[in-house]
Amino acid sequence: MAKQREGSAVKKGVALAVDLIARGGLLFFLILIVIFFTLRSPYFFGVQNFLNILKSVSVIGITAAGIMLIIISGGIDLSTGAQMAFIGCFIAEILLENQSIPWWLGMILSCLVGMAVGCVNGLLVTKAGFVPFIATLSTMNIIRGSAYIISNAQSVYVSEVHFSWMGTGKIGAIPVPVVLFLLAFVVTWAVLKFTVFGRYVYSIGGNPEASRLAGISVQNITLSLYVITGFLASISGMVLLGMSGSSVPSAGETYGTDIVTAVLLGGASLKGGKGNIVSTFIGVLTIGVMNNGMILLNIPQFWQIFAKGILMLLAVALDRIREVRSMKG
Amino acid sequence: MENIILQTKGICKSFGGTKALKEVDFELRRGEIHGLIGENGAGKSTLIKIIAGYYVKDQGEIFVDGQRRNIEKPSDSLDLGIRVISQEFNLVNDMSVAENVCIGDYPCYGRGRKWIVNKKLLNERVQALMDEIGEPIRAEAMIKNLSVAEQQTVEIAKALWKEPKILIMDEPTAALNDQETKHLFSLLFRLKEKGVSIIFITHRLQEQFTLTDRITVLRDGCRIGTVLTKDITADELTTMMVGKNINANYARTNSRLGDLIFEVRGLSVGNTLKDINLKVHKGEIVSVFGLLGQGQDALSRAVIGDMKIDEGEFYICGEKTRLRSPKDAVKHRIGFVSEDRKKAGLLLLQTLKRNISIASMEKISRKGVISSKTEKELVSRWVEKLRIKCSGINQPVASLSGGNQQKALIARWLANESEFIILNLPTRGVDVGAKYDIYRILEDLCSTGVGILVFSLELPEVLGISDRIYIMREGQIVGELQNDEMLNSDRIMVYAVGISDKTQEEVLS
Repeated sequence: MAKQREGSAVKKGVALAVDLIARGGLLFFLILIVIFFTLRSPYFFGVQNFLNILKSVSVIGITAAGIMLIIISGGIDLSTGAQMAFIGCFIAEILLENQSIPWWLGMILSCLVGMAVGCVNGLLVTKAGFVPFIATLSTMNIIRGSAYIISNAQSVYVSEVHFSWMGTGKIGAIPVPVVLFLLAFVVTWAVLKFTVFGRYVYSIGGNPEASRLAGISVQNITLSLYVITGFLASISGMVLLGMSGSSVPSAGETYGTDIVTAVLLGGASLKGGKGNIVSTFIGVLTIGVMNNGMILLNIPQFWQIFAKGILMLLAVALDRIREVRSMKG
Repeated sequence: MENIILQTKGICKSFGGTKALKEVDFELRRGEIHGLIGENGAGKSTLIKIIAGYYVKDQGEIFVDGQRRNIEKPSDSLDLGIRVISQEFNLVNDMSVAENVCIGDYPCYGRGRKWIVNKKLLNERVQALMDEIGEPIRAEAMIKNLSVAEQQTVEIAKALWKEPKILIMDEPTAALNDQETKHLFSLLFRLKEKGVSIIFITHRLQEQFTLTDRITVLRDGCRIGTVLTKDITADELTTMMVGKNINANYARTNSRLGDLIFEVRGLSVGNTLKDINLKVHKGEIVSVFGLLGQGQDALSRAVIGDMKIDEGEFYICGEKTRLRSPKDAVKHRIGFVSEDRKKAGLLLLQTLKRNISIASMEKISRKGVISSKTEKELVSRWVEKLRIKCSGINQPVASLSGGNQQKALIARWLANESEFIILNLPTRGVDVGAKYDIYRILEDLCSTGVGILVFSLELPEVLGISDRIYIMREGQIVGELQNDEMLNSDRIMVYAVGISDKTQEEVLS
């Protein structure tokens, strides 16, 4: 008897939680886990740790801004984690080996390489007509493979000051990665809110056919979104390189999917046309808080991976629940 | 009444405010081929869908074999031995003919176990069926390797597999050429001999005459009459279909014709469009009328550059212009309101405001940054002018009524100052009040010098709003008529239906 009542209470609790989160109450969920970790770990609640959290999510956060645009436009890009690792190896193996290339040129070249990779993704989707999921799943492996190939599967220690600064430097009291992360979000916010381009991104995601007939170059805009994301991924790659102090070809194995999880948690729809920057920010923070809290609680790494899987499932389920709700009116 | 297999009495059906069927009585005799004919929107499909259980009737009774039956869902209809073959096929392309014909009912090895399909037996049985109906299609053939006509035969075989009493065919000849049509007819005659009762829907008068025993005519949701095919002429049938005097009050005089704004010369696209020539002047409403599926959709896409054309030239204000994409069309101030509001028109997730302004970004932005004040002004102006009923310009467009959504799409093109607007089925799915609002808007527009091209399937609409009418049949423009007092629906239908030249002369004389 007691067990039954308990069961139904749990059921009710879960239903309530799902309902709250589905109503855009991701913030509520975030607050909940913040309270949980605060109660369980004395080190969790504090400015320093919060800055740590921001810093640790900034690698995926920077790129998440681009992924959000792609998802709003109705696409997806799974290859960004691999892109970050590739950029790290590219810098360590090719640019820094060659002493004659100054650091600033190296950074520009890295960005260009990132954009070129994004361009390939974009062309596969627009011109070749691949489904974005398939196209970027393939390029994810191609890029990851390339990272191993150019690095001979070796990590390389990187001490170049400017690249280190990207990961460990500070502007005032704020770590550079956090500045870049916030910058990416502010710019994306402005683009979505004020520009024609932003308007078109929502339009082509919501109804590509109607957008095309309204005279919008759906293909060009889609292509440019993948290029932008490639650019952001290369910035993330540099930050990651700076943070870890060495190029690791296997780095960021889960970042590609982490980012998608964060964006979907933030309420963007895989069907396109929906999503906003504030919610995506909360989505990214949620991932960061989960990671950080679990580390503080000394939860073994394989359990962390497990929890992330659950979170991903939750994100996709939310997407589905929202859709069903909107269909009901 | 033993020989009546299917009967409906007093069937009524409304969608929203429009009455699609008004007290329709219909009877189908055992072993006859019964033609169902009427203009687009006359209620043919609605009636069929009620018999098939896709729609539930509001009122009325259905009798099968003399017994009153409740048909509330498709399976009810299937259980009664009624099979509908719609225009779109329900075949699995990557499976064989046999697998499609008996889908869900495969013979299996063993007794009572439904695990492993007995392919040999399956093929034998389906082959036997094909032989029985005299069709040279192999049971092992893959669907994707068959022609459209052959696929249709497979659909028929699929229906026959369950030994239906009643076979309903909804415009089966639309996708067939003459040869294939003949072939289909001979199959239907053979089925008739086997005792299958058939309801056959088509626009084509000729086909009604060759195939059917009796014909029922629907118009505006009412049954106008049922006649013996041998007792009626094409002329009489046309009159029954369109009614007399429906256009008496509509004829327009045109005194404000301006310069040529849009012209198409010699447009051809594969087999869908053949040598289309078409002109629209400033301040003119031109209609393209035709029965369903005569190439109107293709033409509407071609004139906005949304179709690769084989031949043809476009002239805008007398200047030769290339239209290679909808973007080109928008740039040349051509607006397009598509036939499918939801799929190809509206941005359903967004507000009314954003739906209207989407094609006018150049006007409301500077260096890519939108001025929200200019946008509001522009949108508000058109919302007011077109009397779009909304709680505010930020109302989600999805929550507007069909008529107001349609107005929003027209407003989109007015906002960007289009000088030539193409509308494909502009009043589809809007209620009567909004319909007249849209007509009024079109009138107002052309009085300001905008040229308008309307694709329509409704005769009263065409006669009511247009200055000039092109009639399309089988990808060609087969007639051009000035809309004056002399014009009536009969003359238009003669072109649209395409009865032989001799009959045509008779009707016209």
